[in-house]
Amino acid sequence: MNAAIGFFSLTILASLVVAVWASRRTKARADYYVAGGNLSGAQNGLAISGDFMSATTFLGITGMYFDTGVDPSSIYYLTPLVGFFLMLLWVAGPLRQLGRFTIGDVMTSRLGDPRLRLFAGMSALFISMFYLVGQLVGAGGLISVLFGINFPSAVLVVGVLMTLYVILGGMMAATWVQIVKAVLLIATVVGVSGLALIEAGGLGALYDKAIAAHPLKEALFMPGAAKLDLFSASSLAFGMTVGLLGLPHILIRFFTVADVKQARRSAVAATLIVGGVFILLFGVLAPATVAFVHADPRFHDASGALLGGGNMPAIHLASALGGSQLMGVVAAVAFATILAVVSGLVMSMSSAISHDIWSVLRGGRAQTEKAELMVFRVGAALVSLIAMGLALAFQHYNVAFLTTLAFGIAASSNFPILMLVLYWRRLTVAGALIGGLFGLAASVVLTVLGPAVWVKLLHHPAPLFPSDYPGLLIAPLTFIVAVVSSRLSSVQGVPSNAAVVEP
Amino acid sequence: MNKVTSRQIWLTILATALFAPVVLASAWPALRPSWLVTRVGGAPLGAVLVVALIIIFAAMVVALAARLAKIDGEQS
Repeated sequence: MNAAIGFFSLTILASLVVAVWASRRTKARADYYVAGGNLSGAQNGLAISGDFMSATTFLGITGMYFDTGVDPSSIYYLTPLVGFFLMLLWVAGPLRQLGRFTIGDVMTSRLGDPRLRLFAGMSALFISMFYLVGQLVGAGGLISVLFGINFPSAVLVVGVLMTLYVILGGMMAATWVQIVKAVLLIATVVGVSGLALIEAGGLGALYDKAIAAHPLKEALFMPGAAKLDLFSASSLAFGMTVGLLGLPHILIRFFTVADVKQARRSAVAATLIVGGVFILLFGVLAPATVAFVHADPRFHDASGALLGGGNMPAIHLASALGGSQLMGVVAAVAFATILAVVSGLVMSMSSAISHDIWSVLRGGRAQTEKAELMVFRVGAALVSLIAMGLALAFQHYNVAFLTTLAFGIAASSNFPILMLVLYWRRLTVAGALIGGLFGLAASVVLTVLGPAVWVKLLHHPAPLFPSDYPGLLIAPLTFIVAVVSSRLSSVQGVPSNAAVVEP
Repeated sequence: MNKVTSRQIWLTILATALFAPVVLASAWPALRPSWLVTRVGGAPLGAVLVVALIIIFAAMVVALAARLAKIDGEQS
């Protein structure tokens, strides 16, 4: 345990050093919002992959595999790759060409109406908040297991740290913490996977051990264990795939590079890194959690439940393979992973508040750069407080599932409007606003009315909407509402002056 | 204003077609043949296929980026 505390302290200290270093290089507004806008494609690719390889990937999806095998974890492992492909095909280039700091910039540069910032800002807040809550739940569980402190105190520690990073160093700090963490995470996944293969005696023996340990036996490697209906499976895949094209904290990373060429290089670098890590997670590390943790009584309480909850198999695997020292290293890396991701999320929400929502609330009146940065910092503190409160309410949920909700909302609101902004000349301000707000409201409402929130959290006897994944229903409706509203509205959007860009 | 190209449409259809069986198999028992658990190199074939798809999509991203860079070069 001492080793674990040592690694943890070292991680926190190192990331604080990065944040302080970044704060010294952060002077102007562009430094805060987009890290100066001059990152290379490789650096940004590492940061994007870091954003993507969150607690969801390392703890949540591994926990899902631990419970039900390849279903639905195979969908989770594949969707980012499909999403990155579609991102490169449809949005990476045009987005970089039109945007400056936020998605609101992209929308207003095309349609010329600042009211669109209100939609873009609110959408960024809702999506990132769901994502953030998932990360905080993962962090809380992790610290609880490692130090034996209670969940609320653990969430408080993470919340304070993430707020500090963002207030101190803005996007510069969030990016460099993300890059360092991505490298650490890759090394950890490679190392633990290698150890698991050695300990089991090869890949075949590892899978044999997993089959022997799990009650599903060979069905562990067959689809169907999660018992998803056709709509839920399709909607989950749809939301996770195109939701990536609407996630504000990923999209704003394309503004941190100098041009379209670097934006594309970012997408390629991110894909290769995420793909490599996911192959190891899906092929070796996740089955290893089943093989080494599932039947080991050291990792279960008297009732048979996994210690620390369903997000902890990867941490217990480290303990099974290398004792408390390896567990300390892995837990420290997982913690750094979460800190880096939550910093990026708070960054995305704070910039939406200060750059988009606040400017509309002021009626478009100009404000000084200093005043805007003050709103940015206050916004960061505020969203962190709200997220900590929500994390306490959602503490018993799987991290990957919570993230799915964020993807579903992004797929239903940001994605359709962004596609229309980039590709449909007849889109009007009214169409974008009505369509976007419809998608946002409908997806949030149906998510609340679904089984996970309405039944499990709010304790109603039955859900009012039968699925937790409304994206496949809402996204097409958002397209339709935006198109019909554009046709019916008399106010035509200002044509874009931006050059035509190959995606 | 950007124009939707036929390449974008066809590649989107291709990506969907490659990914769809994994999704449909989750909900549709008819798409769960027993040979998915047959071992290939120690791992179940189903897992090998998912890994192969990850590699295919990564290769598609690299190829697409190279193609777009070539188009940029020809236009400039």
